[in-house]
Amino acid sequence: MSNDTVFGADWLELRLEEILGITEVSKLIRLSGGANRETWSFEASTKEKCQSLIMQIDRDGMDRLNGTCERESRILQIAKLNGVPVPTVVTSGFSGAPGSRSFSITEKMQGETIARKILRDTQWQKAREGLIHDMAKALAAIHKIDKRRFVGIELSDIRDPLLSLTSIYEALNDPHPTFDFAFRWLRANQPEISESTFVHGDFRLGNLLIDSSGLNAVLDWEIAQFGDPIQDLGWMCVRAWRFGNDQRVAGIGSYHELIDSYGQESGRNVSTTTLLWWEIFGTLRWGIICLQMGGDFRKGRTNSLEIAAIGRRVAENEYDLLQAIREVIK
Amino acid sequence: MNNVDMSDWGLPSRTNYPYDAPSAIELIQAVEECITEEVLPGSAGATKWKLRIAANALKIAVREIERGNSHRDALETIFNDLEVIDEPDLSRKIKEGDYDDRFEMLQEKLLSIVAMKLEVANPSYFKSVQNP
Repeated sequence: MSNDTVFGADWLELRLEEILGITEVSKLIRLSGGANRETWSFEASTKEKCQSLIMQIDRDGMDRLNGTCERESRILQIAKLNGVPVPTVVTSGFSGAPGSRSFSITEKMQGETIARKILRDTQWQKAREGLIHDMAKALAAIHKIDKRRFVGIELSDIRDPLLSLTSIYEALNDPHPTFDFAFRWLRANQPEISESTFVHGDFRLGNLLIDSSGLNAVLDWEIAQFGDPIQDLGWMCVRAWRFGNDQRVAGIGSYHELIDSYGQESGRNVSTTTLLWWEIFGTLRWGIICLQMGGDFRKGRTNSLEIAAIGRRVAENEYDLLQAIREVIK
Repeated sequence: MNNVDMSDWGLPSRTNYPYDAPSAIELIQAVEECITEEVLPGSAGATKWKLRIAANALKIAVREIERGNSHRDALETIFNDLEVIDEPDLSRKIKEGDYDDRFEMLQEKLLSIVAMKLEVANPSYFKSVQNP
């Protein structure tokens, strides 16, 4: 939790004065959501105007996540310059206090991020209709950004995604036979990786801001990296990101809609087989992330009940992996 | 005193000697019901969200206690069928390719294990297989 001395209203006023002039901060409220960081909304009033802003802060005590908010703000600025819909960054940096955590402050954009609402409420009906196309268009824009724009930002370049995922899994030292089974199948059936582009890494409902007409902004760039662009497509097909709906892509659309829209926008011809491989890879990846996050609780790095409960979601992914692979081998 | 009907004063037999009732599982269930039925309806926002997670965590704990023994027996049988001693051993043999010629059989056995885990962690997750 933030306290009044760091990341509080006084601290914010001091920070914002350099950028916005004399500023009064009010309505500082912690928002729910986001297991890896704190998100706060507040209003910043200057002589001229009052702006609604969002502050994000690295989760306390998590070395693995240190600096992610500051790094993300630099990525946001590059994405914005390259036509990706993202919030404008106001400022970012480090708290400067002992155990320094990074933060970013951005404009607050209008819309909804809660996936279950977007998928079910009638007010988002119109937005849902064009959403697969909006998402495909945003992904194409993300994948088109020249990699050289990111000079100076530490981004991994994942040439062998299975090897990189294996190394995380092995480091956790908690054997899950179904994961080993999935690794073996994925390795035997891996499509050729043709290119490496900038990828978002966590592109799905929950990380997308939707307004009444469709996709308004792409959020949560904390695991952006370089790699095969199709991984971003497969990721949003993972069952966890359908949020209880049946439709394969983000709980909204079909493989064909996604493949067609993304094809139009990016010029890439994605096969169903390749998309399915990345969906299964994504399921394994989410399963391992659940194991890792649950592990943060087991190792005492967090006492968050939400994180503890994520540890029990490993089984959901094991189930999906076995079902998906059974479909393919039959 | 003699006028009072005491015929239904008898208590259910305790399941957790030497301790008193309610048992561990009954206590967890009582807390879960208290959260779900009494506290949750009056809460909102982040607190409501956290209470839902808490109630759900307690339901997992109850199911684990209820099913644990029978699941352990079933797991033992599966390990015998696969000629392994435990999960780490099974993981190692899968990695070494020991079942590559029996991939479908392995898939079925793993599904039996995972079904037990899911029955405890989230029984509403099971579903029929869908086509892409």
